[in-house]
Amino acid sequence: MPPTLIDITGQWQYLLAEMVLVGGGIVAMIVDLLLPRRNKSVVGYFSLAIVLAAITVVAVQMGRHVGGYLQFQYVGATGWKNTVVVDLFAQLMSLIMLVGALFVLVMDVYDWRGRQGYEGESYYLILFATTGALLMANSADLITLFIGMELLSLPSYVLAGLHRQNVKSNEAGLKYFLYGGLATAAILYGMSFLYGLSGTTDLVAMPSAIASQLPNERLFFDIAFAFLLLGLGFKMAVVPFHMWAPDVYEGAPTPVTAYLSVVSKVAGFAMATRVLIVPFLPVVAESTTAAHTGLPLVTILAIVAVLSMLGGNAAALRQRNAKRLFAYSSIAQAGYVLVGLAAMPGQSAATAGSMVFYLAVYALMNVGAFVTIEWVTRAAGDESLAAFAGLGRRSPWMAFAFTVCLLSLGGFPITAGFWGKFFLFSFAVNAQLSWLAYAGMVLSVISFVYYFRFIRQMYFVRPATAETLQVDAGNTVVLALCTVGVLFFGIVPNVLMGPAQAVGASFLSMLNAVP
Amino acid sequence: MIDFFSQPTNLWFVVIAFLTLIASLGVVAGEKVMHLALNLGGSFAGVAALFVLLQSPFLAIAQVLIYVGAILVMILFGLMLTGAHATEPTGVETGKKVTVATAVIVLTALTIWGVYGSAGRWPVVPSGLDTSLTALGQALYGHWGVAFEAASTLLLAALVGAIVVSRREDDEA
Repeated sequence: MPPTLIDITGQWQYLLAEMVLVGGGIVAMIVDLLLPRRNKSVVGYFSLAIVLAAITVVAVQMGRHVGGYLQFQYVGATGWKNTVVVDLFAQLMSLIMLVGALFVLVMDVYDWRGRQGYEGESYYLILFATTGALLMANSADLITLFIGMELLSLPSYVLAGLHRQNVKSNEAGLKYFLYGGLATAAILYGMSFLYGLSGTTDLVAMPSAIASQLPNERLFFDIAFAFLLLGLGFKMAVVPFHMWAPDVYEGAPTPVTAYLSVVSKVAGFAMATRVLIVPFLPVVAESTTAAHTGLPLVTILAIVAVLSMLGGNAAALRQRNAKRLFAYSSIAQAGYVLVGLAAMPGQSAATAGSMVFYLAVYALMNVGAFVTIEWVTRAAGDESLAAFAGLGRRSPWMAFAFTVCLLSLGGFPITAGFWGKFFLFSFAVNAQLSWLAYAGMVLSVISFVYYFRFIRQMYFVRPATAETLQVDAGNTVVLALCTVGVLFFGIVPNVLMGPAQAVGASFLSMLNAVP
Repeated sequence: MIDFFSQPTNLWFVVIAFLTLIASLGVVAGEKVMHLALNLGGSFAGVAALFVLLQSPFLAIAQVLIYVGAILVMILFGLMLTGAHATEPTGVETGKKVTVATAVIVLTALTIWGVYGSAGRWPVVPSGLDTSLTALGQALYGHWGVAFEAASTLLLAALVGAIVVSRREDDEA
């Protein structure tokens, strides 16, 4: 009996989080229609509840399987097979993205206060986009991954241009759409080569199918890799595929910028970890033998990582606009994570774990920074660094939280960001990429220069007004959670690194899974 | 290469692929929007013919019905209603043109080199594939069920997005 939608009901439980998000999004859409214009924040609170529910679902699923769940999971031997994958890697990535989406929604509810426009739409578009982001982590099949990516991208284009009266927001939306469409085409083209070579879209079955084709068709793997790197590089915003990021980050509404720099980026890395690594393992293995003729794929990843760290940090030095500066900062941050990606092939579970660790920490510190940027720039009506002048006197606690996030982004000891970089770079050394690790260490020192510019403004420059900055309860909680998280994981990193290593183990078991 | 053309399907493939490419080039290089739309129709029809060669008659029919029949007609309707017959000014700097042209030529050369080098090693038409509607339906609603559902969500989100982007706000009017 062939499987049908009705026969495989039992499998749907693995997609419960996605179903909660989609269902919630549709209900939010209807509620939005019925509400009068001034009460749209109800949709925002409803969306918050939906994301909280999804977080609960993922957390419960994770908790129930801890210990015996490290192996790669097939969902239904006859049904979906690897179109849906529920392993610890997918679950922890989903959790990071859901928490990021939750924080962004809190920011968004505030951002719409006193504004006219597509408020309700912004909430449920975030729900739909987050569904796509989860699918990008929850699948090991090119088709499902691709549709998940589009489900994330399309609402993101609209979200970036949502402030219709703002010319820069319109520009951001259009630019993001055009560049994004190109990246999508590149990914699809690269995927078509992988399918042509292996005859399957199933990433788990792909390495063995590819290994047999490798001696004759090496060039096609290089072409496929090049196109996939181009497209995914855009999604992760790494140099040289980063051109869109500064304009889009600056023009988009600040909560959307936070969403792009956290949720979209983590989703991009989740997909890249599977798509850029798994099918190419035989290719990388061949590169280490004497007879190889093709491009050195690991070296290319490493070069992109260095370019991102260099380009992001160097360009950030020259920025005076806080959002633009953070666009470059997050390009550099993506470079650090790429160090982990480059060190991954043939490495221990710990390398994958260190990447997940860094992404989790990155989500916390970046959201914390963007909450502060949102409040300060909104109150000052000015997005330049000068808006932060004297924040240490006006709102000491907010200034403290921002300082912690900035130091962590730079990699200052006793913050979580330090341990994130420490793990990434030390595993790069283990993977015979010590030059990459040293480059990363040197270049992250540069980043302190521009992070300290904020700190200087806050503590050593006289404020334009003496008014204290009032922050609403929701954003205070988000900022406090981010700060406490950054400090907590900085003092006891093993609390997070333990699960992250288990995640790495679960990811590697995918490579050993029998198709 | 002579072996390649001795099979009639391969010959047909080359002819149809050539025509499809010409039409696609017309879409990219043309000036008048109406011509672009008509070239797009030719490109869609060519892809439909390729599906026939790949022994997937249902996909060919769907391609004609949906792309040539519906989407192309939608585009033509849009053109008629908005009266967009103006040509886009092509004010691109020479430097950028050179960069783009170099990238395109290198990529094309690489791809052609790769395809030429592998000629004859890859089967042109897959054999032993079940292309019946039953098999297609079972694949779509069984194995690819999640992708199918996600695609429908994607369409819903795209619909909302299209409305947001195109609707005129009260205070904009």
